[in-house]
Amino acid sequence: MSMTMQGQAERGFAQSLAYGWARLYTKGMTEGRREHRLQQIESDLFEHTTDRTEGGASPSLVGFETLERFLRGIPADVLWRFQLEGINMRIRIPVERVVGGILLSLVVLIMIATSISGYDTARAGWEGELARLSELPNYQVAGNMLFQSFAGLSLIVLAAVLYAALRGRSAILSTFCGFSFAAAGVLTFVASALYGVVATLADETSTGLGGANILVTSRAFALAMDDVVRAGGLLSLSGIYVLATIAFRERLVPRRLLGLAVMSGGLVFAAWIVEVVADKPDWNWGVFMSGAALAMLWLIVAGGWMVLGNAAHSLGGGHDDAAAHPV
Amino acid sequence: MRRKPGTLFPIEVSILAAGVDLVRAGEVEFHGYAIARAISEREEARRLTAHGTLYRALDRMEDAGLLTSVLEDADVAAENNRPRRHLYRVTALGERALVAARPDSVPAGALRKGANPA
Repeated sequence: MSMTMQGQAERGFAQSLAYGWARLYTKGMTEGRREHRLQQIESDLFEHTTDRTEGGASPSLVGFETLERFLRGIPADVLWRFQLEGINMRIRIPVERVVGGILLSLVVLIMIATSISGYDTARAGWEGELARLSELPNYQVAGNMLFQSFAGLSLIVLAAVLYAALRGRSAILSTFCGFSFAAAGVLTFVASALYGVVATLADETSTGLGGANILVTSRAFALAMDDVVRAGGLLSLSGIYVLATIAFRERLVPRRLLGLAVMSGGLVFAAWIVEVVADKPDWNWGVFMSGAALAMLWLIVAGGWMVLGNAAHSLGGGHDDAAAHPV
Repeated sequence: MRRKPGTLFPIEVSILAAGVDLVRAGEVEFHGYAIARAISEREEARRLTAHGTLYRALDRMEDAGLLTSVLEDADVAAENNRPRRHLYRVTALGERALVAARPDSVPAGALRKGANPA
C-alpha cells in the first residue's frame, strides 16, 4: 500500500492531518476497504494541491482549503464507517491499552470524587464554618458541582467500558468491578447534590434567612455528604482490589504488583480495626490514607504498564489474537 | 440515510451532472478531485465538496451501479509521478437516474458512446 504522497506536491501540515484522520477512521476495517479509502484520499490531496498550486494559489491557502474540506467531511466519514459496519464496528485497540487508560483515568476521577467539599464538619463551631463557606463565590460552588457531576458520570461510563473489556476474561469479577465503580459514580452524583444543598443553606445562614434549626439541618446534610463520599471511596477501593485480582489472574501486569494491592487492602482493614477497637481517629485517618495511597499507586503503575507495555507479552491464556484483541 | 427507490440524493445528482459535463468535455473517466472541482465550477460554489461527503457518495453510487471505478495502472501513475487515481465512469443506469431526476439536465443517450453500460 502506498502511504506516501508522491510527485511534486509536498505534503503540508493540513494534508498530513487530513491523511492522518483517514488512517484513524479507517483503522480496524478490512484491508481492502481501508486501502481503497486511503488511496482515494491520498490521490485527492495530491490532485488538489497540485491543481491549486499550478493555478497560483499559495501553500497556506491550499492548506486552509484542505483543512476546511477535511473538517467539513468528518461527520460523513464517521457515518460512513458506522453505516458500513454498524454495531459490529471493531476498532481493534488491544484490551490492555483500553484498561490501562481507564486505570489512569480512575486515579484522577477518584481523587475528584473523594475531595468534594472542603467542608470541615468536625470543626468546633459549625456556625463559623458555615459562615466561612457561605463566602464561596457562586461560580465556585457551581464549578465544584459541575466537576463532581462530570466525575460521577465518567466513573459510570468507565465502569461500563471496564465491564465490556473484561467480561470475556472473568464474568463474575468484571461484573463486581463494574458495579463498584458505577455505584461510586452514582454516589458522587449524590454527594454533589448534597454539596449544593449545604452551599444553599450556608448562603441562607449568611443572609439571615434561616433560623437556629438551619445549623442542625445543614450540619446533618454535611455529615451525610461526608458519609456518601466515604462510601464512594470504599466502593472505588473495592473496585480497584477486584481489578488487581483480574490483572493478577490474567497476567495483564507483572504478578508481583498484586503485593501493592494486598498491602493497601491490609492497611484499609487495619484502619477499620483501629477505628472500631482503639477509637483513635488520627491513627485511623493516617492508616486509611496510606492504604488509599497504595491503591492509587497500584492504579498508576498497572495503568502505565498496560498503556506502555507490550500487549502481546502481557496477555495470558494463549489467545491467537492476543496482539489485537478487539474491544 | 435511507433513500426511496429510484431517487437520488442532491450530492448524487451533482456528481452525475458534473460527471456528464466532464464526459462532454472529453474526459470519459474522472478522479475524485476532478469531480469535486467540476461540481464547484458547475454550481458556482465557493468551496469544494468535503472529502467525507464526496467519497462516501462515490462509494454509495458505485454500490448502487450509478458509477463504476477502476484503479489506475500503477505504471501510468508512476510515469506521472503521482499517487494512483480511482477513475470513475457514469454508467447507463447513472445516466438514466440523472435524466429521471433532472429531465432537462442531459439529452437521453448523449453519453451512450462514452459511458460504460451497466
